Amino acid sequence: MQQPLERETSVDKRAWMPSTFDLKETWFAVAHANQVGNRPVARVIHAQRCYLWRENGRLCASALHPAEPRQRQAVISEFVDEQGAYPVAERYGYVWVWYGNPDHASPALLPHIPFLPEDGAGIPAYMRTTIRFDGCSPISVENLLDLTHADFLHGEVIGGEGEAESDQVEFSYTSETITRTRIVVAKPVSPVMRWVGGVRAKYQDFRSTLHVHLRNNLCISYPRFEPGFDIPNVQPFVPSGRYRSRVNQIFNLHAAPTPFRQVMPRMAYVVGPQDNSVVRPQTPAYLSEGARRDLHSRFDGPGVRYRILMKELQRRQQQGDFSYAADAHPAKDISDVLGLKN
Amino acid sequence: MITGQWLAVLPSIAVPAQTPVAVVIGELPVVLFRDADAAVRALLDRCPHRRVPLSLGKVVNGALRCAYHGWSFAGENGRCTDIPNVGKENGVPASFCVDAYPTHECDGLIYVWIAPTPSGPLPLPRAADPAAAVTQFGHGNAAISYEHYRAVLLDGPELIFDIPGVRFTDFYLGDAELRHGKMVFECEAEWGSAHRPAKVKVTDRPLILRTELSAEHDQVIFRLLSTANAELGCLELHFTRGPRSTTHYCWRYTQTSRHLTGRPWRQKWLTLNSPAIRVHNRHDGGDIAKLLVGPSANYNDLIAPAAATRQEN
Repeated sequence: MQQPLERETSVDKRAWMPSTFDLKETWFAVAHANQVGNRPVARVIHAQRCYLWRENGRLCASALHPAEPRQRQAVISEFVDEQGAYPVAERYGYVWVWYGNPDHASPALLPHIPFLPEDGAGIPAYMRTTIRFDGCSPISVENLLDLTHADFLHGEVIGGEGEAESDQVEFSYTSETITRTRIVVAKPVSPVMRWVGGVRAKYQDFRSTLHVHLRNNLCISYPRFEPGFDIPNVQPFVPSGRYRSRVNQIFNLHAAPTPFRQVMPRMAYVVGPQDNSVVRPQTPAYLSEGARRDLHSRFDGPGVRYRILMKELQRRQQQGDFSYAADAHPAKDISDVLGLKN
Repeated sequence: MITGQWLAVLPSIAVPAQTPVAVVIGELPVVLFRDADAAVRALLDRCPHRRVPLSLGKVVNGALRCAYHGWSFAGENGRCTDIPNVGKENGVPASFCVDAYPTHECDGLIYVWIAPTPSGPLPLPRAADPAAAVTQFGHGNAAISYEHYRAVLLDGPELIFDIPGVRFTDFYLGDAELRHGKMVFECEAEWGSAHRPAKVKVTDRPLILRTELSAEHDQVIFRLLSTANAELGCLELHFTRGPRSTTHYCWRYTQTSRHLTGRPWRQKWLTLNSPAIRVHNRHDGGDIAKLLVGPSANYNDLIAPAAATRQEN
């Protein structure tokens, strides 16, 4: 049953200002594991600088470059220990850095990604991409939550401009996550699947599930095309300041044929700039509190809920409550949530 | 917000069919496009759905479709006419709309009224000039504030535009005065390169540049006249506040003959491949800084009261 068009309702009266979110006590996938070697690389999480490197095979994350003298006064912040080190972990082919009180860091809070190997082994370099977005992370997450944009913005890759027999959006949520499923029947076969994947049918069905972890903007996506292929992928949006973000995307296309599996990840470099063309002007448009509130269609149900959940999390954290509620442990197995095929 | 007047924002030729064009008036982003009847429409350049500039979209069946999620808007009233795949049974609520602004097209310029309903008379068309042999249009943004741009227009028009082969001087012929709601004054001009200083030994300069600054509109008209008072060329320049202390302008220039009547052969030859006029969008800060105050000193006495009345209205 179709939901009626709705106007945004919020838990408080404040306007939606996505650049203001700075949620703590979470793991950020700040780098591809294969990008971190003996030579330090610099990353940013919100406003915090973080250097990553390996020392005798051991992964290190610090607020200070290892070549800099250890001046304790200079590195003390709420995010690092007395040595200036961040809690760090390596899993699913990513380097994860804890953003919050170091004493609360626990590998048990690392999110579960069912379609990636825990040790990251066997993920080829061509299935990894890095894209920069000239917009804040919540706007990029909203971009993914409303996939109807793909028909217009990525028409030449995904195909079709609003043409489909039916287009349904469902969603569910916890206090820490939101899951959106879009089910499209009989949309034109996406050009990349037709010309690279060899799918000769005229139309295809499409089911895309997106599972979003709110604190760290981690988007775990499982799109299935029939006829066609599954394109499971992860997009962790890491805020770089209030107005920019960086995403290290990993695909798992082992089930797709060659050359599709090699070409599809490269599409991120086509699709990313297309998204950026709208995300970039969006961010300054959300800086003003006095701006008119957004309108929503029935496809925006997940997006509206996302805004409500983010505000609620922000409110809790502002009141000093950084705990994870019982309904939303980050490490919970999400295979069923994604509708992962065995 | 700039209101209370029809603002000339772009030449008609700058808004082609099918392609929306963005313009910022004051701090207000506006998108202009042509509907199915080729009429120019103006909407707030911000989709009410996710605030993406509508100017990134395209015109489909006469409506402006957002590039992001495909919401379409009618130019006439700003109403959202289509949300893809929403379903006919749901329809689109009448309240789903974007701000629309009245437009008017006249003499090759597009005018916009930044309010839902215009409360002033339409710009009058210029009297047809059968002798006009050259017509040029243009628009741009000058990196100088509105007030200073207006002062430079009055005190040093050579910093704003040049007519190749004509040298303006700041030798004023009488004082600025108020004529029919316009601040009017004249100064001498002569044939020659704008880059060289005016000749001091010339007894009678052959040209006059008359400046007419309107109190009703942000508009100034420069008329290049012969000493016999015959109009050789006319620049109609509209200017308004742009974002970040810039000034947005658009202009229309007409000339009565291909080569300005009376121009010496040497100047004709030197300007053979030059455009009839050049309106500059880059201005040298040093030149502006050393510009002597001239007729702009009279602005407060002559024009400001009338302009202030307009702003209040």
